[in-house]
Amino acid sequence: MAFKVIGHTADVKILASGKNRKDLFRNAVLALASLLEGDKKPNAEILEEVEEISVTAPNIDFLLVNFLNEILARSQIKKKTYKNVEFLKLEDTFLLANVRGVRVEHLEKDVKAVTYHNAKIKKKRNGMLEAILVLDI
Amino acid sequence: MAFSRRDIKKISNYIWEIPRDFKSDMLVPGRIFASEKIINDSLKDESLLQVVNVAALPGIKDYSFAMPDIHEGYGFCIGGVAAFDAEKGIISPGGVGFDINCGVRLLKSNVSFAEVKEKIPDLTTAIYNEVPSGVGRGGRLELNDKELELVLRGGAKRMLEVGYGEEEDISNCESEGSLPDARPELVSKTAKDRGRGQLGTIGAGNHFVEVQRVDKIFDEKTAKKLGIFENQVTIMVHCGSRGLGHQIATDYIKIMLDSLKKYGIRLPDPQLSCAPFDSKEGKEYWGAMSGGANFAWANRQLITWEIRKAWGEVFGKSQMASGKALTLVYDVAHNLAKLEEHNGKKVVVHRKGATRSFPGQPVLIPGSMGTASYVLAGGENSLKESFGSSCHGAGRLMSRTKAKKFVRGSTLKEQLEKEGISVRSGSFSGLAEEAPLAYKDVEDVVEVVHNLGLATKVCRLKPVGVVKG
Repeated sequence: MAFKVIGHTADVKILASGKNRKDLFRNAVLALASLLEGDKKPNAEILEEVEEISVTAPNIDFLLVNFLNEILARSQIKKKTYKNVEFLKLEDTFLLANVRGVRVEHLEKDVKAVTYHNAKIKKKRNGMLEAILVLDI
Repeated sequence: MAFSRRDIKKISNYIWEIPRDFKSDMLVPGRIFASEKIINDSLKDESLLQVVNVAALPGIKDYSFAMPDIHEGYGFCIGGVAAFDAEKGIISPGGVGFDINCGVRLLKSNVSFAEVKEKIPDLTTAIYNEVPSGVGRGGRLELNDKELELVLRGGAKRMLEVGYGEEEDISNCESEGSLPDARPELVSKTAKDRGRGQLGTIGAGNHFVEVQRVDKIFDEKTAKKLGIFENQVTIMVHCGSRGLGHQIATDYIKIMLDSLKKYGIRLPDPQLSCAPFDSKEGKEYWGAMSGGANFAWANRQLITWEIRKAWGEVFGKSQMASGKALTLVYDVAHNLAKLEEHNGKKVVVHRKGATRSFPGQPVLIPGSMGTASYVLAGGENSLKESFGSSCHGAGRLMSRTKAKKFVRGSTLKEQLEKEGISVRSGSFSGLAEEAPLAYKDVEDVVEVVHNLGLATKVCRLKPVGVVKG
């Protein structure tokens, strides 16, 4: 299971997993897109132009949070949800990626931010990486 | 770290304390204003741990407080209040919240519910049409950089200058609808781009416009002073600074996390990201936060104009539709840091999901959807007990995903309409998430602040029309 939306008293959590960092980060982006779209999926998934994103952070956990916040801001400003991610660099404290989004008419969820609350990438016994992130909505 | 009842000392019927020696890094005790039931509920989530964590922040004065609508947030709990020495203490975006100056305003009409009962569904629909709600439904203004700068500086006053308000909209607003230290140049382009099309919109989640009637008056003298009478039609607005404020918080939490080492600050939780108030980062956040707060007041002012427009459309060119038909009772912030003087000392009071309640000042407490809201007056004890603070709402008990398992939005709408409440909402899913069963009983919360004298009851308002995103 690549991602899931789960409960949190005041806000919402997303759980993303992946076989490696790129996979995990990609699935976290898809989780965010899924949450933003809710039941209002776009009729046609036509990918728009490539956008380059670079993000820094003191560690890999915060890098994931900062990356998702960048995606979130773009989603709201450009009225897109992002489904396509190609990582050019993904290190502990720096990320460079090309992303492509799908134009949407409406977003279901008014996500304020992805928080650092308990943000931690963990390695499960089966070798999969997993992160649970709390989003303020 | 798990809490048990044994860890919390009962000081009185409504005051509870987590002793300072509970955790070694606490600088002050935790103090929670709550009933027995509310304290027991608070053990089910991490809110008390968050009270403990805030107690460790540099420069904190007296206590790390929590109001009776306490529930788990991140960093500070919702309902969290903490004051920090302005010279030696910190400022924290986490103690304000992502939705800078999320707040409530109350408008009053000059008509009784009986006079206009048949028109309430039409009024609710007209408000739904005039006030954009939900996500992606933009506002009627798309501000360029210059216009946005003026809004960030002027707040509600700016909206008056461009024809969207009345003079008393300013005088009846906390801080007269504008903080003086706003610095638009410290608000990022991303924040500005998120917000420039959102002025005059309520967003989604637990934000709303609600048509109400005054159901019960507890304090006749204060109600009369506020111009409130029984069965009067009122309209309440709950919303904040939209994407602009959210992004300011995101930006400065990140900036301050990067500067923690410089100031020798260690945090139990990164969402408590902070900097000395008297530092470059602290001053810059203060300037940006003030701009975000002003945007929120401008937002609620434009929404007021939109509501007045809807009112005029429904009631036509009669005396009821005159420019004075809807006047502002008050507007309060419940996510903000304010520089105040208490006991002769300048402190930065952080209220996250908490309302300023200075003696005599109106305090507006929205209930959960379909339940009562309250008008209170700041109590004589608030300055002594809580740095002039009170609760802000009912407080959540249950997550949004769990609420949707219990309630269907369409069923809830039918149920509310059977109870005489017109509902206009862009999302059944969003409606279910805000079902009353997901929240504490607002009456329990209000009883605590009333009995403690933090804020005393003036009147109760019951909904007759709800507009949600």
